[in-house]
Amino acid sequence: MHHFYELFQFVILSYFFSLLLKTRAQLFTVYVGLIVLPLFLLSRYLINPSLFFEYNLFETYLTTMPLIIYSSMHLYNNLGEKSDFYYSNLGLLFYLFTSTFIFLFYRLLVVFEIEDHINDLMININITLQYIKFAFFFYQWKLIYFNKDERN
Amino acid sequence: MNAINLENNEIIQVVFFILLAFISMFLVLIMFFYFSRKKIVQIEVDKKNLEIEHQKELLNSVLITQEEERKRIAQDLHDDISSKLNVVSLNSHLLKTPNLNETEQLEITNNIIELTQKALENSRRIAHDLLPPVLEKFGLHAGIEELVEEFNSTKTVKVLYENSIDFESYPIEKHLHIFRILQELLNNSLRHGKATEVSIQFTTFEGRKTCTYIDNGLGFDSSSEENQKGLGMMNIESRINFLGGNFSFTSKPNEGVKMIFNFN
Repeated sequence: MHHFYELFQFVILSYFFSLLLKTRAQLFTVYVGLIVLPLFLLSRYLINPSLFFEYNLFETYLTTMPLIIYSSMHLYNNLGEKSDFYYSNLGLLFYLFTSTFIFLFYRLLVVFEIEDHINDLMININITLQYIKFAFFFYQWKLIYFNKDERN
Repeated sequence: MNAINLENNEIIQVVFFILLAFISMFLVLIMFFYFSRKKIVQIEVDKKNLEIEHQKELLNSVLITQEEERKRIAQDLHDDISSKLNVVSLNSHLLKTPNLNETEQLEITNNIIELTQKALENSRRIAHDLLPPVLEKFGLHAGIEELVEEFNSTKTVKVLYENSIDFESYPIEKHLHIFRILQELLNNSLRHGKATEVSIQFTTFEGRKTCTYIDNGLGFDSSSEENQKGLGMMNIESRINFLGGNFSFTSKPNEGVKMIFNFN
C-alpha cells in the first residue's frame, strides 16, 4: 500500500507547491516532475510487476526528494519577505527530511533482521514526527484563520 | 550461496540509498544556503540603492527649492524695489530740469521721499520674509509665536500653539529648520488643505523633543506614492534628516493631516 501512499503524497504536495511557487523555472520543474515521475514509476511496475510487491527504496527516494527540493525553493522564494504558508512549509520540510531517513533506516533494520521492539520504536518515532508536522500545520491554520489579511 | 548473495545485494542497495539520501539532502542544503546568501546580498544592495536614490531625490529637491527661492527673491527685488528706485531716479533727474517752480519742486521731492520710503519698507519686508529677525534675536519659541500670530491675524485659520520645551539650550542653527518646517506645514494647510483649525504641540516624548502638528483641512491620500514626492514634503523630510529625527505623516481625504516628528 505504501506505493499509493507515497505517490498520493507526491501528487498532492506537488500540486500544493505548484500553487505556491512563482518563477517559471520552478513551476516548470514541478509540472515536469508531476508528469514524468508517476509515468516512470508506472512503467517500471508494468515492465517488472514483481517490484510492486516489494518495499521499494528507490520509489521512496524519488517521491520525497523532489518535495524537499520544492519546499526549499519555496523557502528561498520568500527570503526576506512575508511568506504564505511559511510554518506549514517548515513543518513539511522537517517531516520529509526526518521521515525519509526513518523509512530508510527501517529498511536497514529489516534487512539486518533486527526487528521487534526497535521496529515499534521506529513506528513511534514516525508517529511523533507526524504530530510535530501537524503542530506546524495547526499553527499555520490558526494564523490564517485568525488574521486573514496578515499571513505569516 | 544465492540467498546470501541476494541478501548482500539488498544490504548494499539499502546502504546505497541511505547514502544517496544523505548526499542529496546535503546538496539541497548547500544549494539553499548558496542561493540564499546571494539573494540576501542582492536584497541588501537593492535596499542601499533605494536609499541612495532617495537621498539623491532629497538633494535634488533642495537644489530646486533653492533655485525657486532665488527666483522669488529676484522677482521681489525687481518688482518691489528696482521699479520704485527707477521712478526715484527719474524724479531726481526731473529735479535737474531748469526753471522749476517751488510747487513742482515740492511735488517731485515728495514723490521721491514717498517712493524711497516704500522701497525701504519693501526691502525690510523681503528681508523679514527671508529670515524673521525675531527668530535670531529671541529664539524659536518667539519666532513660532510670531508666525502663529501672523496666521491668526488672517482670520481664516485658528492656530493653537503649545510648547513645553525650553529651546534656549537648543543649537541656534537648528531653530531655523524647525521654523521652516512649521512654515511649510502651515502654508500647505492653508493653501492646499483649506484648514480652519491647526494645532502645534511641542512635548518631550521618550526623551526626545517631539512636535505634533494636526490640521482639520481637506487632507489627501498619504499612502499614494505620488503625494509623497511633493517638493514641500521632500524639503520637510530633508530638514528632519538634518535634525537627526524621525517623522510620521498620516492623512486621509477629508480627515486632515497629522504629522509627528522628533529631533535631538
